[in-house]
Amino acid sequence: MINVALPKGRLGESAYKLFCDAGLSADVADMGRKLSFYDKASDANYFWVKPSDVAVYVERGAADIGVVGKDILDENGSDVYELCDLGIGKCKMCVAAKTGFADDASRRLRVATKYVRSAQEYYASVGRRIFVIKLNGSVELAPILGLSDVIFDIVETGATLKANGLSVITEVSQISARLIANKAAYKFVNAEICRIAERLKKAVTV
Amino acid sequence: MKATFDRNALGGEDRAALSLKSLYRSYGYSEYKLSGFEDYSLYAENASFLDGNGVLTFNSGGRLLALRPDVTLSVVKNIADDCESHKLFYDERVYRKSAVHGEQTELRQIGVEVIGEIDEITQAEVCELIMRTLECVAQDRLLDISHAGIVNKIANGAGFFGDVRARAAAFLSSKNSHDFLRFAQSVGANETFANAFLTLITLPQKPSDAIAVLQEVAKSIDISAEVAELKAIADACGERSNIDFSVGGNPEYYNGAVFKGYVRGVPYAVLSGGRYDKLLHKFGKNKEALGFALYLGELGEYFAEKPKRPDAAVVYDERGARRAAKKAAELRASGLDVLLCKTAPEGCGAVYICTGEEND
Repeated sequence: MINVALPKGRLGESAYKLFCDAGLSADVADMGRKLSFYDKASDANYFWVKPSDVAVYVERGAADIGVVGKDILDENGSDVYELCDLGIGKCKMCVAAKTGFADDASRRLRVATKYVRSAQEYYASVGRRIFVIKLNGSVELAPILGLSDVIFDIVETGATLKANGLSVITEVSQISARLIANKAAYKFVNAEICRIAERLKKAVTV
Repeated sequence: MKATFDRNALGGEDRAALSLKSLYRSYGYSEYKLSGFEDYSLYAENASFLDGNGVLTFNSGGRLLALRPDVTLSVVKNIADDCESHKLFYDERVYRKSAVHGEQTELRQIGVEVIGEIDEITQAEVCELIMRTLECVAQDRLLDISHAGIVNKIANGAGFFGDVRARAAAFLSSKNSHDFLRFAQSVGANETFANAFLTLITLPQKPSDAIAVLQEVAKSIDISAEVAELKAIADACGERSNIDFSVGGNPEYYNGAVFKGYVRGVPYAVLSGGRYDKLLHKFGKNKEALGFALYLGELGEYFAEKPKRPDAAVVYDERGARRAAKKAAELRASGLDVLLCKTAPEGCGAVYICTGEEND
């Protein structure tokens, strides 16, 4: 049996649909409020966890494989295998600021973000000194209220930014959901994990 | 009664350590003991060898000392720069981040270092010791083998240096071929070498298949000698080994084989090691070196046994105390584990009541 961690919410539902499309699981119409379910046909145990916890479940071996957003994966620095890009949950990691913002390179840039590690790595790579202001939500408010100069966040359509008078000034990276595997599980359940990865890759490209 | 040593009375970690030390002695390896602390400067100057592990320091009379996060650096620093080959093993406590919970902690580490001349026979002997070490802790085990020389040549040829090299290494370590393709294009990597690097990411694990693919790569890139060495190592390690370049191995220190060992039931590598001549050279010692370490302290959960209950309990009160002590001694003499207590615990095999007057 293989244990699969899926993120709760829209991304997890899309990911599970992809598993079904790839013939890896039966489409369960009503999962109700169950946190886990067993799919007899594929001998797989699926469980829904908080999106930011998927990589933790996989890295620590509670799940053999999982589906997680690349933003969370990069932020956590999880020591897992990243076997394929599932092409769902697509968005971009961006730097955004109030429309008309002009950067003053003579002083530290104040960056509000949920993604502290990713922001630090990005600005280190471009040689810009920053102050990071860690926020847990509604990051768009920070520049409006003068808390930060810019925000470092994921942008899907840009509608929230636009509605708040912000605009993207730099696109840092492309984000999408990834299939990840525990490194030890990959050794001992190799054939099954490789089979799942290959079928998902095919389902993505169809 | 003369106390006898009962190996089975030890916990799993101690039993494994005893077996391993006995194994290494049977190959003629000598036990190496380290002093209590190390100067912090040793770790400050070789921070990248510690693989991101922090160092716990303290001040002692103006000297900044460290709790040792690693054993190999200390062995390399202290080993005599003579013509001798040294075959050593150690059983030490290290202080570093735990793979289990990510916190700094004390962990037991047992390992082997060969420093001197590493010829083919020595290399095969260390491979045998690695496999026997894993066998000692688990029936179901696997060893991943990589070769730092192959990774170095291909990465250098692709033009991966500095930060770009670190990012390429991260793609290799996570088997991330999809992002690597975009990355290689974005940094303008040499196409032949970038394709070879991609081959390392997607290489089949089975040694015979992997070697066949690498021999094909060796037709266009000069890695034939390294591939032949990797094949010899994989042959020496036997059927429970895979070739897997995600193992990593810091190019500043490693120049040949790099190992990572896994046992079923533990979600992270429990053994690591490799050929680290470059580390010796960094210390100005013109020697070769090969070694490995088993993270015994990280196997705590794996070795976890049900708490052992006493075979019997003798329950007493003030008036029955003497009789209870006598009864307990009798039972212990017959080989039982006996708890003397005022209330019988749950799960005891037998309970003897010694309360009140002469009524046990």
